[in-house]
Amino acid sequence: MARKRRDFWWSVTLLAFLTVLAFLVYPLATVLVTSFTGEEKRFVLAENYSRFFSHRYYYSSVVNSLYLSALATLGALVVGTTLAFAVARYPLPGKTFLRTAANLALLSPPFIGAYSWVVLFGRMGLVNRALSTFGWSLPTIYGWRGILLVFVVQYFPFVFLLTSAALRSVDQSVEDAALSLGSPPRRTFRTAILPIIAPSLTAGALLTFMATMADFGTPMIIGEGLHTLPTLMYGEFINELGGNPAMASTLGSLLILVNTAALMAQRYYAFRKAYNVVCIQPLTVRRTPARRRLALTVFAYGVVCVALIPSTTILISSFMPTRGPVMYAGFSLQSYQTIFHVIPRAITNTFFLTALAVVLDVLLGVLVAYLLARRRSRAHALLDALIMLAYAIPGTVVGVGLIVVYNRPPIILTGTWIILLVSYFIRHLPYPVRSCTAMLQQIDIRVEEASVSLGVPPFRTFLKVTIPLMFPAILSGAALAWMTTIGELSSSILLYSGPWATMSVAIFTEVFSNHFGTASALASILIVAAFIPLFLTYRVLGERAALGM
Amino acid sequence: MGRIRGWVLGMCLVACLLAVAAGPVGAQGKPEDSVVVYSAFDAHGVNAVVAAFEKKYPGIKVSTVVAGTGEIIKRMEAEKERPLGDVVWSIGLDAIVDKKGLFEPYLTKEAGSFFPGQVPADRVWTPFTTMPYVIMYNKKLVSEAEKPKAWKDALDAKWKGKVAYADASKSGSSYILLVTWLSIYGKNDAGWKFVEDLLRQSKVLPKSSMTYQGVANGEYPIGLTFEQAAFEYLKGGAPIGLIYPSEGTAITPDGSALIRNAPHPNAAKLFLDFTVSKEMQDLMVDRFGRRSVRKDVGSPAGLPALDQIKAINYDLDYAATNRTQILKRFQDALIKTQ
Repeated sequence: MARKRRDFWWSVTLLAFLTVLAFLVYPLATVLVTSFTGEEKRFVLAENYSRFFSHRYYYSSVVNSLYLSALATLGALVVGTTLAFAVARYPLPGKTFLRTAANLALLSPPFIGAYSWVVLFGRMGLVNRALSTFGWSLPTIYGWRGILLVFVVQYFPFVFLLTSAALRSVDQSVEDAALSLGSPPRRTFRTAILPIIAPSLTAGALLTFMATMADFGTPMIIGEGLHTLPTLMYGEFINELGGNPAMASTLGSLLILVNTAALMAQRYYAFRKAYNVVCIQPLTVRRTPARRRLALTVFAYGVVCVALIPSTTILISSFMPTRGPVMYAGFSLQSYQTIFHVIPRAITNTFFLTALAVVLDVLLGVLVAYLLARRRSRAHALLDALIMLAYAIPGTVVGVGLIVVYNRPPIILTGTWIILLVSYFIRHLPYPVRSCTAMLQQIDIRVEEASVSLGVPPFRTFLKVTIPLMFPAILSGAALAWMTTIGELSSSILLYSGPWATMSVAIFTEVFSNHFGTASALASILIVAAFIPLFLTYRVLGERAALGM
Repeated sequence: MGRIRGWVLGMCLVACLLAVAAGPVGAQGKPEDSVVVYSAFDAHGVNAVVAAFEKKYPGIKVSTVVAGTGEIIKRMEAEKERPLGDVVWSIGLDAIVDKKGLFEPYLTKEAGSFFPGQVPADRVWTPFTTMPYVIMYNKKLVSEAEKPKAWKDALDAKWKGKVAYADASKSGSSYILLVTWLSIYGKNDAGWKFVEDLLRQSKVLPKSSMTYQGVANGEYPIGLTFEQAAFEYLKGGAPIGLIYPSEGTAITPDGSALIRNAPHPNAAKLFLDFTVSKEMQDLMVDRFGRRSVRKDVGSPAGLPALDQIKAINYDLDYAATNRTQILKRFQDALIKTQ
């Protein structure tokens, strides 16, 4: 029996390693090797390093990135956890709406999302023009304050999602015990509840930090001269004029270094602070005085409204009549007619590829998460780091690597949809892995041991006991993967071919050729496409939670 | 067994049909039944031209990849061992000149109808449409009286921090502007002083599209960009105006080229010829506001004819061969002034 169990998990480990090596490590290594070989390039690389560290213009990008990401992570933690607690513990109206809407912020379709901030809050944006009639004006959206605002608003759902899932696994008895032992509520939170949700909380913070470190769309559009690592790197890598791959590699290695360090810090912390709990009765909703309830409602809806600004702007623009790049006030279905006429396949392509990638992510993700949480070893720690690498590395680099490796025998994937699937799968695998690992760290291993000792074979225990316990994390991991995959642009633009253009590619080309109407219409469909599964997810989760799962 | 034979027969039949349907056999050799086009052109323009091509050559299926010049070049370099594309169409000329090794020289049969100087000596690229570079201004923020008339007018103190210009190391059109100023004010310290002064006035943006979008939306009063982008906003009714600077300006085309070792070289040639045929060039002018490279096609309605615009002699070879040094010095100027 023991032998068989070991065989299964051993082959899962092997499969996971092979997958990551074939689709991530090998392509990346090929990219790095090709950009470092050759006398001339090596010289350029050395020159780049000295250039990088001797000019404020360059090294300030590291400082800017670290500073912005740290502040944004802090902001996302505050907003995300507060909202998670408000929704989980207080009787707020419209919780399903709040949960779903908060997550929509994560789906800021490429380019056009950040653009909507300029449309509204730019120097001549709608809001500033409206305010100027009263002689008022808002502080500028450009520069680091604007970036910080957009980052917090866009990425707090990472913290919110993971913290909410973790809160659902805290048993009411934990709190009751602390309170009955005379611990005041605040201290109960700090000493009893916070430690249990800490792995999820830090996982959310990590995702935020890494996402903000790698985000280039926002600083590019509203940075106005403020450079961050990804904007500099994107400029050097995808450059109308060929660019400087060695400089891009220099910047890329720095980015990977910072993100890997953050990852290691979180892993270290989560391992040390992992507490196991059995959740029979989830935390109850608290009775609260009306004033506090009102304040929390205002806060929650305020946050969600700000988070919905980009999506709302896009939705409204998609129904505006356009002439070339210029939009006019009014109502028209013109943009939708154009997309169904010009690019109908992009929509079915996106659904097909995203659904398949998410299913694969969840299948492998759940198994890998189990390995990482239950069978800690050096090999598994390495596997963890390698999988998270996918998250830290810009899609463009992954895309180039996949083309270079899979455009030659023995395996040729370029020109087919499989290469898109591979990229989506490998780049979004970290989501289910992270959410499930965090969850497993809270589920007491004794539950599984009890099942095994009652005579249920280990693998059956895994299926019948562990998986149902992990269900909220699986769903939220799948939801995150779905949302981020459906709008994936950076590798799609390099990997798609012929009829396999996705919606994000179509949005990019429409924005690129100044057709904001059609781009908005496509983006609106994208938003709805992400919204419906999320909404359903929360309906399901909500019921399960009520049943005491 | 019978089943297999049926399949084989079926396949033969299909192959014969395809061969018959493959259409006219050009002088260059038999065209293949498909062609893969990489283009940085507007998606709507791509669709219009592809539809017309497939109508004219029903046996050739066109598949397209639409992306920016930078992405296209990255993709081609990654695919170098086994190219998947056949032809690039309407991308930045500098990129083609810079990556000559990726392309196959070709002289289109339409070249005789082009304006003079539109075909390079090495024949590596074919022009698609051509455009002048302009100063674009927002009429709500800039009055007719104070609008700049020359490149140097942008140095006026009142435009400090209000001139939108994309980073020349990131945008092909911005690089052409940079070389334009160097050509006018000297390819020496004097010219670079002008560039530095201009950069001190400017908001240097990471993408050329942000320049014309920003001016059209009123984020910046003045932008330095190319005519066609500005013209689209003008046609759409945005409150903007175009200025052809009095010192003269560059008028250069975007380019197409055959990809070296392409899987469908003959169909690619047909496609490339088709993009510069009279009917397609007419379509570009009438529907997309582009300027034709052909002598027998007029200017878009609402734009001055090319011979009314003061042109400089834009030295493409200088721009291409000295690119690394020019961009390095530009980067230094940027570091110094930003």
